[in-house]
Amino acid sequence: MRANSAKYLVKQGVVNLWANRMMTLASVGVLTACLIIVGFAVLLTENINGMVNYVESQNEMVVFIYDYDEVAADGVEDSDVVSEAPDESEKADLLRQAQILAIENKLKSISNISKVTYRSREDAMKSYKEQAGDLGETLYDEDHISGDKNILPDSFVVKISQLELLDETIAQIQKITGVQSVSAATDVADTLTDIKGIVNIIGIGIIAALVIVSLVIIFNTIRSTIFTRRKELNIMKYVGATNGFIRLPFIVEGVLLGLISAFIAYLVIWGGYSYVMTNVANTGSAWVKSAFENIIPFSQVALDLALFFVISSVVIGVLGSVLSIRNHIKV
Amino acid sequence: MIDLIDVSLKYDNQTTAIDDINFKVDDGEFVFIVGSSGAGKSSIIKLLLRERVANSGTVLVNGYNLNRIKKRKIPEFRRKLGVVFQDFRLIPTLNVFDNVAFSLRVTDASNRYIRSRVPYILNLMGLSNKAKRFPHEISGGEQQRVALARALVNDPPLIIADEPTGNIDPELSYEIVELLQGINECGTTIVMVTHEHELVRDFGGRIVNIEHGRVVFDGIVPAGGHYESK
Repeated sequence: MRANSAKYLVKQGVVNLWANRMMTLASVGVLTACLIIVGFAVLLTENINGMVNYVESQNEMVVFIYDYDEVAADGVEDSDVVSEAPDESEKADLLRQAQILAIENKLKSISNISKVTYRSREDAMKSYKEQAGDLGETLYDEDHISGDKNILPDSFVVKISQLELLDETIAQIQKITGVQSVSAATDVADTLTDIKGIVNIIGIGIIAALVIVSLVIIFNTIRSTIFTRRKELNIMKYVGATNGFIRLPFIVEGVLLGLISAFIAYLVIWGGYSYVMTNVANTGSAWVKSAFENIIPFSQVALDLALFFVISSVVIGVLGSVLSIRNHIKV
Repeated sequence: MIDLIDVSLKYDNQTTAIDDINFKVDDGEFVFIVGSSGAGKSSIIKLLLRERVANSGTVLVNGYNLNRIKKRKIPEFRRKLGVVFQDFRLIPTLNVFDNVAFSLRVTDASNRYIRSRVPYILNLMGLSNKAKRFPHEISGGEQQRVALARALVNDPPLIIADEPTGNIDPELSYEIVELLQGINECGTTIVMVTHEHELVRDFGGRIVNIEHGRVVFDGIVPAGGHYESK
């Protein structure tokens, strides 16, 4: 095909959009509506996932460790710093610190652990005393905190990245020498993991169903557009046009229909989402405000959504056109 | 140019449209195919354009055996034909110039050739001042002349006209047939299908009369003369 023929056919595609403007409007309307629904479904799923992830990230577990004189962590006693300590009390203190450091490093080396915070037995007792209120004031004196009466162990507060790997992570922690026990809300973790799984399945299901429904509606719209132009296709065949020659303007039309629809749908979603984010979140109750604090900002999904819209709308436009004219160019 | 040998055509509902037809059209001839409604004229057109394939017999058109032609060769075959229909079949979204140019564009003609050839043909058809008009903006007679211009623009050796006067005024019908005769005098073979016996009698020439899917008369009749069934 000569360049001037290709140019002519592309131009015809653009001209036809305007020449058949009512059908163009119908196709763009349907495609835009479908894309908006799918887009919001994607955003909703992303947000629910984001919220579950946030709750997940708040989930902590506590790793209690043995006192340094009960079981020393590997290699702690060989440390030069410890052996060179001037007196027993200082030596004991150094040993304790070395053990804590060794365990902390081992905890940090576990890939699923995102954050490790050391909590000394003194801090733990202070926190316990505060929680006990007035009773704490009377029952626990200074000796309970820093003296021999403190029965609480040193511990680490640990945050993990993937809640579904909680059991494996606990098993890894328990293998570390010096770790006494691990306290984790495994029930909460299991529930959250289940919720996340269900949200993902429902989200993908809804999006898939919407995409299929959209495809059916769009194909039918484009098909009816082309049905009104079937005579035109027939004429082209009678004057000796090849199928490729007939198809090209329709493909150009399909691509343009898709891009126009994607552009409008994107603007609507952007505007709608931003409106909800700014207005509803600021005017709603405290509960609404706190709920909106964890909503994913549009900028975070903007590029992915744009790519998804452009690719899917162009594919739908082209497929819709090609499949719809197939039956009319058999003459 | 055209050779139909023992051709039969049945539709899916087992109606016999063409029943063992034989006739030949030589290069440069002008032939009227006449017959009443339902006689089988349209079926012959469908066979000649390779819209349908004969159930039996051989259809030869312009050097192509239409029973054996490969699908990808059909566009090439049709480009060597000029076709004119009763309902004009102009593309409504294209103006007169572009409708005529379309036949050239499918052959991958250059813009330069299109710009010189189309005005020449439009001038021949008396349509120079209508080039920018759209089909719905011109009369039926003018639309048929545009269709004729589109059929002529590729300079085909054969023009098939299917009831070209069916949708226009009687006086314009004579004008269209005279145009076709003029084209025929330049060497183009013309096959004109019509049910207007009076028009055909007025012009005379070779007439093939079809009834019930069979040829009932095939002969040369003088202008104003009569033809009868076998």
